[in-house]
Amino acid sequence: MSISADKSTVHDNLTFTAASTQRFALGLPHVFAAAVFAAWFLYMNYMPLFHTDLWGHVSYGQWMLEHRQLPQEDPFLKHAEGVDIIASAWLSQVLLGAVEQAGGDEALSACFAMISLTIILCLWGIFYQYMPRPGVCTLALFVTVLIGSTRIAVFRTETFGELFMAMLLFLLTTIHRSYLDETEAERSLSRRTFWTATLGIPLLFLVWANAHGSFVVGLAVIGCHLIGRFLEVGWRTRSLWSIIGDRWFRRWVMWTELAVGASLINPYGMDLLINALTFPRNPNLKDITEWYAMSFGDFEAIYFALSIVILLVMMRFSRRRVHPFQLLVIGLLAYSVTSSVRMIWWYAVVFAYAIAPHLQDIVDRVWPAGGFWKPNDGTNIKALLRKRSYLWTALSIMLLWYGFALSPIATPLLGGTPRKATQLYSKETPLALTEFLHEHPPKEAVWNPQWWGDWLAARGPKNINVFMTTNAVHVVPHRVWKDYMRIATAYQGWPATLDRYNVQTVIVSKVDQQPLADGIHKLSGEWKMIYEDDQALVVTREEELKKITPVTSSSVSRDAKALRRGAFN
Amino acid sequence: MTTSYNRTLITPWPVVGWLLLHLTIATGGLLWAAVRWQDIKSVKALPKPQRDPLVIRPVHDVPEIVSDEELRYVLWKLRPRLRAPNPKVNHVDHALRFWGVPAQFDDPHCYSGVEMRELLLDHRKFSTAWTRPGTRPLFVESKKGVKPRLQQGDATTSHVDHTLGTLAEVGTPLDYPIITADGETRVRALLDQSLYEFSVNQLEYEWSILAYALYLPNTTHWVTQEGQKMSFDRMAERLLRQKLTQGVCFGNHRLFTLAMLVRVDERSRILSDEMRGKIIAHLKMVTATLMKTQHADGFWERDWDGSVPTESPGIRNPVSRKILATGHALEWWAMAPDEVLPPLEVRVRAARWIIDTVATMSDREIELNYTFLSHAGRALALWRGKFPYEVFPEGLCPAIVDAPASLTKETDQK
Repeated sequence: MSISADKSTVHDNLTFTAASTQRFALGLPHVFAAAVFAAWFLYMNYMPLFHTDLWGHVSYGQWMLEHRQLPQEDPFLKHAEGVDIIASAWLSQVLLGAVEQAGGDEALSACFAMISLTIILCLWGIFYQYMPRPGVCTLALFVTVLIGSTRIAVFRTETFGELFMAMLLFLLTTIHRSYLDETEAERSLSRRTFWTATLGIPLLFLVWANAHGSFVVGLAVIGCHLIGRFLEVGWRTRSLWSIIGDRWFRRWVMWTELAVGASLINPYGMDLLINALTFPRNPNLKDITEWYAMSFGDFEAIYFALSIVILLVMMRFSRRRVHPFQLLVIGLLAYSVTSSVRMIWWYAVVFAYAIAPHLQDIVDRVWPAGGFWKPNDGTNIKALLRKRSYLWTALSIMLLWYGFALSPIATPLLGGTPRKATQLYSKETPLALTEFLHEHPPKEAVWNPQWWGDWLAARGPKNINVFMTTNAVHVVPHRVWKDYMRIATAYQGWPATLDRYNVQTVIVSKVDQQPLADGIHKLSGEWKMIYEDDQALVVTREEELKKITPVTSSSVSRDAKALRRGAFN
Repeated sequence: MTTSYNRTLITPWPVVGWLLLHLTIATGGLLWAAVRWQDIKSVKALPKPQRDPLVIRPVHDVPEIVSDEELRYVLWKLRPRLRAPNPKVNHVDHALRFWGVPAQFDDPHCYSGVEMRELLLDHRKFSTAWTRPGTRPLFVESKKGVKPRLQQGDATTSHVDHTLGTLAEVGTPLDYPIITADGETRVRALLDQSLYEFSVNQLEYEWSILAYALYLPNTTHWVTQEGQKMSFDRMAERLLRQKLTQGVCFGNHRLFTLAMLVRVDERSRILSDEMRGKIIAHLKMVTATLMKTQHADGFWERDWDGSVPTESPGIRNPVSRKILATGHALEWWAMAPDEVLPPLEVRVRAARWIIDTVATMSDREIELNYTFLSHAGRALALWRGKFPYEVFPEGLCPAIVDAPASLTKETDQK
């Protein structure tokens, strides 16, 4: 080996080392992003588990794990007997069931935090692919999350759908980076990106379709690209031949077919797709607030209006061409969110996806790369902000570590006191009531608020015969649902409706069912109040239960031994 | 700016091939979806009934309960003197069920069985009888057929599917015509509409289930429009669900329908063994309860299950309530299998109270209580193993029937 050769090698190594060093050195914006991610994870891990359908999904999953089959009917609701179900979220339900079995409810909370973090990382990545400016991306992410903020707090199978949507949009952004930037003649896709999309899209939809019915939104987004491309080429060329000859059009056709085809690989085949498309027409959903159309007073409406303002500003100042697919996806999701407020998160992420290239154009022009932080005037603070350094890297890692270490997820590893039940579960979860029911289990039919039904079926006394669960609102016959609503709203004739279903015990949410709570006191003498706290009251006409000494607010403490962690597992 | 697009398929044949391939894929997908959609829809197809309903005949003939003379006299007293302007549909409905289609009466104030059925099913007859201004037709067209208007006044029916149940019980075939204000249809349209709207949790379901048992004895299950699989087991479960005295007519319609389900099941297996056993056990339990609560005079009241009534009685006249409770009990027992029947003396006491009460009632009182009495009168005939029209030669109820000596003597003693 010659000396010169050695020198060259040394030089190469030094160059490599310097490049590697530079690569891992971060700036202050990265610290900002890391802080946001850490805080987000911390916040989501501390988010109490909601008291509604999560527990129904967990129960479904555990039922499937136990029976090694998909349920044909709702296993927990007597009034839904004989109604075939399509367990469109079977995969995520099984996952939830397995997670709960493996690590208890804290594991569910950790699962939620990790999925939520992955979602915002994907969304952040959408912006970052266009403009590698962590600070701006983080601000854009903040606005996106704000628009969809009313739907982020609840862990349910839909969360898996939101994850897959974020992943899909991230993937589509990878495709579009070249698509949007280059002239039409030069539009091309790297082989790697092409195969990533061609394999990734069907794989994503294969999992998504089995995990949640929201995969149809993903199909709609891909379909918008196909139609958008069709319109784009068709508008310019006025030739069907040119449309078919367009490589991108053909690619979208193929990806759409792959997405649809992959989503049909599920235990129900085509029925799953039909079910997902017709699901919103279920008449029972009209009474569920999250399926209400948007109204002016809603938070969703305010955030939606904010997004429209941002959109108009973007369109006004962006020099990028607006592509038909962008208008189509925003229009489609805007329509769906005005029809049903529960779509606001889906709208928010699609909104982010559609405006990201326009945001990049505006930001690049207003603050050219490096210009904003350029330390020309010699200000030390600006120089500090501009500089990439290991200090920022270390600070970023430390923030991420704190995000993990301070979260409940770290308790088993790092030690500490587990959360109390009152912290782990949402405050609307009827913990004290559940304890009471364990001590005095109703033997016969129970009427209950539907939002407690899943919890009571999962964590209440064994074989409790609840009237309604959130998870089965769309399953029960419409007559049962109407009768449930009649009782829930204390509508005329509701006591006779209780008779018709031979309900022997009634559980009322004092907070959300005040008319019924008032009406309960006017029931005939055959009923007896046996439980009351700040949250719930229970009346019964079961002879055995009528014998017990009533439990009232003064004798109920949410911090009593009943609320020990895991008391209901 | 001149725009060029990435074209690789510039020759026609590859383009045509590509187009054909993807059109084939799309068409295949759409066809699959269409086929599945049809299948999903067809799951909710209405079940196919048989043309002629099953006729379930009474099986007991117990002269100790009612003698031939007493029966003829009671039935004569309960003849349907409904031929007057604006006859209550509720009364016509009950009278038709009570007497049956072959019934005839040598009394100009009475409608024959045929006339009563025409009055219900032929709008031309209905509109002739119902001259009150503003009276709307009895039948209205609905999505899958026709249905009678319900609980909207005297010109409408009183119970859900009572008319349908009546038509089934009196043996009306499904191709029998119904003339509505809008045209002609068949009894099948009435059944189809009922099946289309049926929910096992609906307010009244007893007559619907009875009609289904008689028209659909060979149907094991179907799916309702609510998507719920329906079987006679599930419907029986519903009949067993409520507290005994809750519901229309103090809960007695449920018991009659349960007894009829068991009888239909003997002819055509519509129940599982388990459910049949549950029904028999339930009816035995009800019989035991009735034995405990029977009044010394033989009647029952609305508290026939032994509970303390917690709601207003609905029916103010205590005699009316007694007729209702007692007549219905005798009626469902008359159709029930032997194993659920109470001792003879219980039935005799109940029948005796009914006979004596009817014998002393004025025409006005009978008119006021006609619907309740129709069950009582029918029950007495059934206990002699006959439908009411079979009690009289050639189905003709004479203009006058003298009170038998037993009743005259008792009346004199009172």
